[in-house]
Amino acid sequence: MEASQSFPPAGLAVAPASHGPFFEEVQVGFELPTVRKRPITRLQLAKYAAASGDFNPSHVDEEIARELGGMGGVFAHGMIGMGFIGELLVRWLWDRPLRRFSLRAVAVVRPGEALECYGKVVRKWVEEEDNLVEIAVGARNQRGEVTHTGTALAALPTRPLAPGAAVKHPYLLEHRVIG
Amino acid sequence: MAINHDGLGRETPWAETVVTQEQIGALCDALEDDLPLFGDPAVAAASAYGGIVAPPTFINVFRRAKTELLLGALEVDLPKLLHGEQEIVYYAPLRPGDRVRHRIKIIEVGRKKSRTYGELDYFTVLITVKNREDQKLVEARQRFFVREG
Repeated sequence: MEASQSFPPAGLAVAPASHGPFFEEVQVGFELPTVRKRPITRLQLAKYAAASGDFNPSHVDEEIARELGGMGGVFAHGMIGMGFIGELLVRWLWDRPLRRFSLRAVAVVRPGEALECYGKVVRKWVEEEDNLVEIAVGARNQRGEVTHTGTALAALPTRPLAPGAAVKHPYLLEHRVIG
Repeated sequence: MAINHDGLGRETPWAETVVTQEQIGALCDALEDDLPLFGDPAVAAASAYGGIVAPPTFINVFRRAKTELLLGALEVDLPKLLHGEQEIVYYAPLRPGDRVRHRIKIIEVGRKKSRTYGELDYFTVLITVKNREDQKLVEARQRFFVREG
């Protein structure tokens, strides 16, 4: 089983030492470096229950999950996948703000399963002075089955114009008569 | 019926809390997420955030009286709940030390076909987190399906 990726992820073109991506540098179709999480443990689900306050016994008590919940045994909180994908997003966005993040759990996740989180930029546009990118996100288990699917919107800045930036065609400014 | 439809519109009272590094650390530990923006003051200070911020799903920890709301107003059984969907809208980052207030409200109750589970009762809660100036910081809509039988 692979450990979750170390930070910064190997091979990432721009090491986010102090800032995240700039709007003009992001292309539609860009695939975020995937984040492969370690297999989920029952202890982890207990920690998640405590951290999130979600003490639905189906996530930690095998008997209740089987008999009262009817889910065939303990299963992970659906939104733990959202936490994992949140990590994927922030690893790429760094300090660029998320505006919106929505996710659906589409398959049951059990202890022992390892999720891989992925994302792809599907749109970029400007709206009300925000430079927005839309990222289609998801997670799949070690069998390749999709467990979560959703989207995120983030606002990216553009690089400030350098003062006195060279102009490509100075003759246009000098009003030279042509012909 | 697995759900009391009269629960529509019921809400918890506004609850005052403080965002703490301990809560952030506990969530990151459970997620096995060691991103320094959430826990290393020096690295976070060098970012545009200027300091440590809470991770994107931190709103899930705001749940004062949520269980009472679900059990009391909707009369649902906890083990039957499936938290299938969530949409979070961010207005401003949450930071350790922020004094905030939050409220949870049932905004939808109904029956629908889930792509994953078939036709089921469901409900949606809206969690709103505001600062002391009454400005929204983050809000989440969470949809739960209620298994039958």
